[in-house]
Amino acid sequence: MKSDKNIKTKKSMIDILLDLSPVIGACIGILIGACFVSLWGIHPGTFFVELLKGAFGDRLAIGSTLNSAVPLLIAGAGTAIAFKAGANNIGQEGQLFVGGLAAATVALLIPNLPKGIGIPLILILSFLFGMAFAGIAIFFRLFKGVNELLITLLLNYIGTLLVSAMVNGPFKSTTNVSFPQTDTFGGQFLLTNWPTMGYMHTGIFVAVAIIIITGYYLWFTPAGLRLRTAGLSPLASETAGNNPTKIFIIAMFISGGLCGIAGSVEVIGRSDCLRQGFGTNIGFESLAVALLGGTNPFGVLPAGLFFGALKAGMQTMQRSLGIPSALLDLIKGSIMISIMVGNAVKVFIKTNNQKRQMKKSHELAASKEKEASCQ
Amino acid sequence: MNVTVLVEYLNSTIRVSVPIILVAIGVCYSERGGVYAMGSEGYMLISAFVSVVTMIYTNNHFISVLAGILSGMLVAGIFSYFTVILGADQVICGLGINFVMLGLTSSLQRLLWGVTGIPRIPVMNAVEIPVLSKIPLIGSMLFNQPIPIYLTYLLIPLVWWIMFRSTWGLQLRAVGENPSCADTLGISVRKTRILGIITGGAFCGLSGAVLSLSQVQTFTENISGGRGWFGLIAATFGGWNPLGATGAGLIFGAAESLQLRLQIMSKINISSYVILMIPYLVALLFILFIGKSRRHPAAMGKFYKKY
Amino acid sequence: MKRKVLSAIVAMGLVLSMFTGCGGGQEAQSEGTAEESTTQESSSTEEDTAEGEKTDVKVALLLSGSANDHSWNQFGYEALMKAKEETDVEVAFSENVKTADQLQAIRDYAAKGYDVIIGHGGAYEDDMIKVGAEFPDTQFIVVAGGKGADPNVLAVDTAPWQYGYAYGWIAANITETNKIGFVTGMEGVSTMNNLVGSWRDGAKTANPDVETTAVYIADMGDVAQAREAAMSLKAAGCDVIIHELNAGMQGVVDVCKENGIYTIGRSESDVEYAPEQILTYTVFDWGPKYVDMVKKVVEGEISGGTYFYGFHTPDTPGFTFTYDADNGWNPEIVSTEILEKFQTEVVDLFAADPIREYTAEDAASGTK
Repeated sequence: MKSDKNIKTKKSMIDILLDLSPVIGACIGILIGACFVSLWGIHPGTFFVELLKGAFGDRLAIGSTLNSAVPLLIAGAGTAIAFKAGANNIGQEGQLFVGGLAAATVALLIPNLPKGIGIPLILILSFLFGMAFAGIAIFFRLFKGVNELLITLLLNYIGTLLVSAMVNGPFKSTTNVSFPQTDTFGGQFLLTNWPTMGYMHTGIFVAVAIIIITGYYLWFTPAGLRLRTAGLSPLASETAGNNPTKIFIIAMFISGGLCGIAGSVEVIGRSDCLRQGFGTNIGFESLAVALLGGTNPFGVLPAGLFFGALKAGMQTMQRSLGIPSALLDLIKGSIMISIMVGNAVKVFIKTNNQKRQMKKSHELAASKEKEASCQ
Repeated sequence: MNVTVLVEYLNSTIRVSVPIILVAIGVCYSERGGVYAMGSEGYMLISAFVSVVTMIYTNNHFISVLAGILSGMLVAGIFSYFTVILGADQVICGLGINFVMLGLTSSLQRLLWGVTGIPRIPVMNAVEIPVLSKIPLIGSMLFNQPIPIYLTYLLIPLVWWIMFRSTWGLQLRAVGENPSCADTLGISVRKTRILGIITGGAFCGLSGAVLSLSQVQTFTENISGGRGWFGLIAATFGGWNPLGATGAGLIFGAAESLQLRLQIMSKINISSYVILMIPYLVALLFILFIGKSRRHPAAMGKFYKKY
Repeated sequence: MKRKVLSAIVAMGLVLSMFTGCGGGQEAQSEGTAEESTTQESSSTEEDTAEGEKTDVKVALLLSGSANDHSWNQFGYEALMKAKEETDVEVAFSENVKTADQLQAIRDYAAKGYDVIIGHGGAYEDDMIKVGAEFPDTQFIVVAGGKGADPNVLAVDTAPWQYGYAYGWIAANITETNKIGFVTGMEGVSTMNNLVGSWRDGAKTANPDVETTAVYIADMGDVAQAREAAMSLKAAGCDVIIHELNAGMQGVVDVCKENGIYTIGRSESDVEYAPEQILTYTVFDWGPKYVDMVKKVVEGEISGGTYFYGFHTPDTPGFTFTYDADNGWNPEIVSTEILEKFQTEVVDLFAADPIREYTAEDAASGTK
């Protein structure tokens, strides 16, 4: 039809700006933070400079940015898969804690493993532990009809306490009794740190690999398509012959397992033993990263890096500016909300634009018909 | 176990449960309308802060509680603008609100009172109800509590009635299940949802005020300490029904109080961390043996566009 | 989808380059609660420098909690300020340092050239030892926990087993129900083991019939939880409740005030608030200790290992029991006879034999 040509989506300046709305949202959030920081007598310019210095200023900063990002990327990718399939897994925290526990289990119970087996075994076991936790939620959902949102939330607490109990009990350190933690793991279990690269650890490669794998799985395989369909329209998925239960199980297992890996990578990359409370907050942050990245593993990459930069930058900034750490939470929250609102506004404007364009083209078509009929 | 200990335990159960129950009721309202109420911790925090500060300046419990409730409603209102009107993601905005309120209240406390922190406020004493409190066991458990707890007793049947017997309650539930259908019937999806969210904020606000004014008697950083999440769990657990949520809240309160007493009574050396798991394990076991299907409102989390 | 991601990355890059472009070198004067700007005057005059003495000493402090938690972390913060006052050093501090970020924070300070890095809490021990090996000229100090490491990681503490013992001994002497309680957190950590274990030991030594009950709560800053713990101890019959908490201690004091139970405080304001229930408040005064430690570094001395302050170091007392200007303990409750016995049976005991260790078993939750 002739009128089709008139419905063109031109990439105008506004469109590009709208595409960048997550970035704009982030900037707004940081601006809000700067406003608050000024109440402590700190110039916003200083605030930005220190923030950037803390995130990218020197090798140490970049190293800690990447290190902070690693667990967020891995758990974020896992969460993305779950949400894309319509499974509400908010148990990242619990799953990553038991993932860390898995690392301790291997390192402490089989300390004499040769190099090259230790780390892969830890990754596998932490995946399994995370799966187990997700499995509990699966069980309750399938046999008791309880939404996994609730169960995974409960399991967060249980996972954290489980680690505390183990670290204060059977796994307790024999050398250092001043903090609840385990004995130091043998070197073969730890990820390599590069002091010259700001103490960055190899976990970043694991994270990127996982992102690529999960992204490929989700977008380029039939299995991934099934998952996405199930999330977008359970009805369509079932009509197409997919088994919703199977899809749900797969999604939950994968996301739980990946969160478990996130936990163990954090333990063997960032430190050398399992400590009480090692993953506090990381769970919810990775949930935020997954959602900020549009529940898409490829989106999780920039979102996770951004969040990692934010965390690293804010901590260093807090040290150098002496602002209360509470402001960091304020800034984090403002950024999250701003980005989401930005997304929403973008969608709003886009649909309005589309509506207007459709209206215009219909009017055009109607007037042309009128012309034709008049002649 | 002697009677004093038992009575004290029951008394404590009520004390611990009430803030959780109030949050749970708030969550029920918000989520029945189809909006995730992830921001409950945030509403509790801002309310606790505002009510304590108001108390310091007015020395009047009633006004302080009111101020707390209003602050919760205000923040909930802002949240509802972002999510219902603009369509921003509900879960992230809710989590964001939690972070923002945590940071805001802690920072304001530091800014205004420096490192010494907010001073103590006068105690909100328990008020004994004359005849009823003499009933053995139940009397001291239920009728020897501070006034806001009595208020809660009255609120519970009221909120149940509003949700299931009033017109607005019906509209709220309809909007949560099938907003387009409700829209066709002429119900304003936006208005109903916003009202539901703000009511939720009011209850979370009341919870925060109760916590800070009658149980903590000051404001400390992160005073809500996860009770918002407990409330969320209790609401889900209770099937988004105020009565169910109350029951769930009571179970949580009982388990939470129990784990402290268990530490005292146990002669076996159980790690306190294991004992701390009890409330959560109890919740799971409960669902396992008694829980039935709890499908959340069908339209939960989805943004409803009004063309 | 991919285009969106790509454009986001490009945009972020643009935005960032924008900032690094302007921003310049504005180092504003920050009126913050903590440090002095790094562009401060550096007074390194030749005459003031003695042999080996350091000038422009910079001291950094790491706190796991908030600097205004009315308790542990606040002690550290105030001590830092005291050290700054008395020794004129440059100071900086970090609060709410999460476990995962400790290592990076310590390294950051060390790399920035801080001479003394203090970790206020046993959690820092391992990370300090690690970074300590990389920066041999920096003094690392772990407060309250650990064994330190030569040559430059010092573990400092106020002998918890000494004041724990004192608490237990006094409590057992004044109790009328023969039931005393302890509310704290972090079960299993060595400081707590020593504190609670010695409390039990002191109590039983003074009065073999006394029943000692310890309750551990999850969050040392949670006032409501502490309150519930104290109420449960009261219901069990305790008439003396000792505590070691952060902000949560307010809950215990409130309950004790409401029910006429004896307890301890953390500051003068507690004595004002509940004069009849407070037995004492223990002034740990980390200030003089920080000053002591910083001075040593200024004089060029770096030490490792452990160092305890306590009854055996009367010049820089580990802890001072204070009730009011004239009394260490509440004179209405703790009689002069008891105090005399206290001197011989507790103070002198430890002055002669200062070091002890208690196990997790000794400090286990529950009643013994």
